[in-house]
Amino acid sequence: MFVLEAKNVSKKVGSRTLINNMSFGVEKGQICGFLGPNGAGKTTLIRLLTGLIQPTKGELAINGICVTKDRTKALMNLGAIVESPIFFPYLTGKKALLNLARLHPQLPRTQRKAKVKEVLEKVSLTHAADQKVGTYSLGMKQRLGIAQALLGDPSVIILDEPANGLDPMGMRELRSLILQLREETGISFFISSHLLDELQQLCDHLVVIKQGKLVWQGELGDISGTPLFAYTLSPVDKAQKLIQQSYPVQRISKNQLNVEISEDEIGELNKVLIENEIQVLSVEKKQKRLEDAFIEMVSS
Amino acid sequence: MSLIASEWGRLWSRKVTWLLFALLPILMLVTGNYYHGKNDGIAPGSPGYTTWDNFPVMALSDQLMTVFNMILLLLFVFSITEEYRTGQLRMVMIRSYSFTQLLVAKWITIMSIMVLFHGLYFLLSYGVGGLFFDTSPHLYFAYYQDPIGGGPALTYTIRYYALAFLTLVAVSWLITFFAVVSQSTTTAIGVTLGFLLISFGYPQILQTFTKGLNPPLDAKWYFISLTQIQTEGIALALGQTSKLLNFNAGVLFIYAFAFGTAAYLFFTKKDRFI
Repeated sequence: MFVLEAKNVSKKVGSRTLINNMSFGVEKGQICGFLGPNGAGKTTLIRLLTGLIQPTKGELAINGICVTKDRTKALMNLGAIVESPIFFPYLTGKKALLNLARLHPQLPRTQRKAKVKEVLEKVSLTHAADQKVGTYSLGMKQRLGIAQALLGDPSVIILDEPANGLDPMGMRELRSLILQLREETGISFFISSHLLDELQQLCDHLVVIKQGKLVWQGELGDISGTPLFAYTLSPVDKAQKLIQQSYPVQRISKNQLNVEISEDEIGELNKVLIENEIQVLSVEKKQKRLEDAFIEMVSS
Repeated sequence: MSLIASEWGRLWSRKVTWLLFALLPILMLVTGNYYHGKNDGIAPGSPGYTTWDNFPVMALSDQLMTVFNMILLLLFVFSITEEYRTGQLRMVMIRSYSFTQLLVAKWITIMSIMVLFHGLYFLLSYGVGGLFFDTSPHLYFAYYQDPIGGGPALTYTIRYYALAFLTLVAVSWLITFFAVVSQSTTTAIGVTLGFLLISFGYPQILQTFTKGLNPPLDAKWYFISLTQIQTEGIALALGQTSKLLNFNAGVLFIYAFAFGTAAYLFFTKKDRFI
């Protein structure tokens, strides 16, 4: 059973289709990245998953419980930050969490304070617990956002662009926190982001959407597709004309080409190049960046 | 109950809530001073003369339409409009409660605070009244031909406060509706005040345009206005010969039902958060 699942979900508003027949699932313990260009429908889908809006068609489920049919029960298994973690600025971090802890019926009254202390420790905000949330930095608010998501011991946490506005240090801290939480508690994460390098370091599963449609989903390693090799050649123009008859090739500098080719075929290509009096000065394997793969997917 | 407790905790964490209560004694002293000065030109025992026994009613009738409505407006706008428009409400909405439960919890919380405010106002009015006025066994309330005092005066006061609170219940649903549909706190406050102003001006305008009518216009037409019920309708209903009690109760019910239903429908609308 998926901890988070969308089955043939569509959302229309008037004549506009915001989400078009989308299906995907997040397994237990997975960190799933959710990618898409601006306006693709990421925030709309997150609002659907959290029951803030209703789908036109299809089903969304959290731990097998349908969000549309039994929203209150489904949300008991979910923690989320939707758009950004906006708290009540006049409350301290501790009071804000205590106030929200009241809203978890599965958390007995006698355990609320202990739970709040526990989640503050997990997100390293104990030192700032008695400061007003209005004085927190963005990074601290993000961490407090994760703390409030942890209050109900969820099986899955949805984060909507959590690294937005964070400096590199803040991003690293957030990344470590997410990985640590997954390690310690087995919580699954569903993270929407534009920061592809961040997702590349964090996620093991990806869902990519464009204009409300799913364009790709799978393991992070699979997105790389056919490997790239950087060839340094001379004369490079002659080499480019020869290679592009058989393989996708891209000129990247005066005498370098990126060639999409499997490792098995390198020997054969090198032989052909040498036979045509082209010098092969070096061959280097390049990991296809998530950014390149993403741009390819959403541009096609 | 947990949702109400959460709403209660948040409202009481706001400085403005405490400030509103802190204003009560000042308001009472100012009102007491005003009526004390007014007594100078009126003979004791005459209608309009303020004593310790009728000061609570005088103080409330003066402030119900203005101060009490304004307090209600501020509480609802902070609790609904501000929390929704800033995104603070999302933190609550992604919890396992329905939107209906959330709206009802907010309403109950705010009206509970108003009960406190109302009760404190009642007690303070006797306290401050004792500072400025003497007691009197014979005093006149509005629409009373014969004087009353002692126990009957206290009963009248309690009934006045109870009916006043009922008018606030009707006003609360009106404010809830505007708080839910408004795009900003400024709009919510502006639109609500505009509505109340129109409600206040309506009887005056009606009177101007129907002057000289024969037979004169039925008084009920004037009491379609919420503020008219607050300023005059309560006293009329509690007069020596009660008038328009059922009609005014019906008007209050219609306001509460119509605006309450509209507020509910808007708040729980399917794609409100699109």
